[in-house]
Amino acid sequence: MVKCNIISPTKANRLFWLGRYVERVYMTLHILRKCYDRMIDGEPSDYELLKSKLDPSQTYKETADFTMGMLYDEGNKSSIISSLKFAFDNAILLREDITSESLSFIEMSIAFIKKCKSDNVMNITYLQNITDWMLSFWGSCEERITNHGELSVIMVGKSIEKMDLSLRFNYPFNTIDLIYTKLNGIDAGLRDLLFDSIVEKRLDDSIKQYRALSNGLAIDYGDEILRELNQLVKV
Amino acid sequence: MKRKNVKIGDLTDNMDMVNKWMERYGVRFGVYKGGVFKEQLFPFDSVPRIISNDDWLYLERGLKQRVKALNMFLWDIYHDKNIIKDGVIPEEFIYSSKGYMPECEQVDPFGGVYAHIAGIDLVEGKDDNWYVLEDNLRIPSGASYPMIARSITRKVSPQTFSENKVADNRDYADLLRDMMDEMNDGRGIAVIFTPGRYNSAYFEHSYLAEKTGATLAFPGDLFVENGMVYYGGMNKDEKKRVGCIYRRVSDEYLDPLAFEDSSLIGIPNVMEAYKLGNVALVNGLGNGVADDKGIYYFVPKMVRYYLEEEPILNNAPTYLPYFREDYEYVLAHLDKLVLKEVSEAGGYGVIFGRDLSPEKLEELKQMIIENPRAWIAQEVIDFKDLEIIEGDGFVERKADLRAFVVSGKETKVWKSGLTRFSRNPNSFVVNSSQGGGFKDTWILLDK
Repeated sequence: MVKCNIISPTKANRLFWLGRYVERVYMTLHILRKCYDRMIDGEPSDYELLKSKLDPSQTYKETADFTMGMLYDEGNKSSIISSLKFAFDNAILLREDITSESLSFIEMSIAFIKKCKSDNVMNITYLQNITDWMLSFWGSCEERITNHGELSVIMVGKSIEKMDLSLRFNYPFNTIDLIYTKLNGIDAGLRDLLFDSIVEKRLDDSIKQYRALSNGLAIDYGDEILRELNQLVKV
Repeated sequence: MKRKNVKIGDLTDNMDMVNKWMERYGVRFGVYKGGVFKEQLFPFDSVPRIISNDDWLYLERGLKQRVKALNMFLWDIYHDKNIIKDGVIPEEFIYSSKGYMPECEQVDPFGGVYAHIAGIDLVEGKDDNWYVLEDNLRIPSGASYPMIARSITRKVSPQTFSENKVADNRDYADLLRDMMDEMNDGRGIAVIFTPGRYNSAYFEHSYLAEKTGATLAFPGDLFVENGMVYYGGMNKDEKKRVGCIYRRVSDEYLDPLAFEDSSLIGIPNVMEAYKLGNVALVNGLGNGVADDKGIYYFVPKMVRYYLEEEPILNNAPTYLPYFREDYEYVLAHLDKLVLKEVSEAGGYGVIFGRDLSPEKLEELKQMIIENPRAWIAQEVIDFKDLEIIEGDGFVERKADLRAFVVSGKETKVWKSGLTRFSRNPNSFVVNSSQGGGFKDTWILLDK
């Protein structure tokens, strides 16, 4: 059977957002774990900044509500369960591209988080399975997606989400620069199709500016670079 | 546990593990209840239906014969209509059928094949005879379920498959791929065209696309230009010609410019490309005229007419109230018959006379009198029960078999099938949309 090597606009959109949501699950769990650890025996000053960045609208007053809400609140679009569902909504439409094996890691994560929710599991360590499955998902994609363009689009989504969250949570510039370098490694042909060239130029200038200013360390990145990053992809 | 000379104890003991794998792979089907779409796991029972090699050889011959005759009938109806001219089937049965499409008159489908994938529903009677209950020639679904069930049960209980000699059914994707390649004939790519995620059989569409290597196309992905069908890429100039569409969208919604103009899930102008012979549609258009429940009655006559052979497979004893002698019989024996509305599918519109109160029987009688053409009546076949696992034990339930026949240059029968069973002890209705479950179907290799 002749393989179709071109990617439709709707498929590109799904691949991109699948990459973003899976990375969002992985990164948010990572940040939540850090926050949860500080909340075990720390003072509010130890975790308030992280907590307010994870929950900017201050929906959850108590730390217990915050943890449960960030994990299981389906009304909260930033919760782990919501991000997993959004990832699934895209993945289910891409089975023949990402393979049933890759999709199964998201299926298992959803079944598992629903079970944790019904059991009222608050100890975030129990959700380590989901972190492991997200990593397995990426490994499976690298191993099994045979269309290089499709793999590139999904990885662009992953890199943009990782960079977005790293900027929001003030990661060291060296980390952000590394993600940016990966994002920049995309094929020239695909770059023309995916990226808005004007925004790309502006983002590149911002990165150069931070490279000069930051000395590789964390600084206040401001909102402009986030806007540029989120406007970069056209699909 | 030992059944019919097969050993399945290890498999049935590991049912929980099988179900975990089913969940992992998302083996689901969708149903609309009260207008709301709900997806649920398709209940699987690990006790397989077992068909002996001799029985299978008989079924295989009968299924090939039946599908060949049905394909010849479809060609005839949309071309010369000899079967009507020769008085074998009254013309009103053709032209009043909802599945007849005048737009298909004189259209030559590639290779002359209309029903590339036929799903033939059978039951095994307690008299050891197999009976065909229904022919599904439009978009029959279900093959993916035993396919994935087999790959899972082999993982969970390899011992079961080394102890029993069972025909491997994981080649269904190969059968499909070969047929689609033949229909495509090197013209372009092959796609499986799905109406989308909220179709009840979406799992199957995506799974078959993965396993055949075909592209899964959604509404909006395909377009027609100068009588050719294309799959569009991200770049406006980027497109690939499509030579074969395995479409899982109903006839009436497939082309809004030719059929239902409110359809948002079709491909505008695909009918034009089909007529020009620039794209093969799998299955062809207009097949509904041959799987109409009213036409079912005539299938044995078709076999004799086109193939000059005696039908190998039996129909269930069927009456058409349209004919005077059957009309009298049906009205007099309503309480013993099963009545089916010819326009319904999926287990809907099936009425067992014995379950009705005298008032309801009278209502049914009036409906038949008002429109006899809208009904068929069948004797209730006392078909064999199959064992299913319930709790810690086994119980018996009604089950049917959907056999899949794939026709390209040759007609081939898939050595397996979807066995559906009723979970309700008092019910003969096995459809998944009515709460039924499914089993794998084993064809034994040893004589």
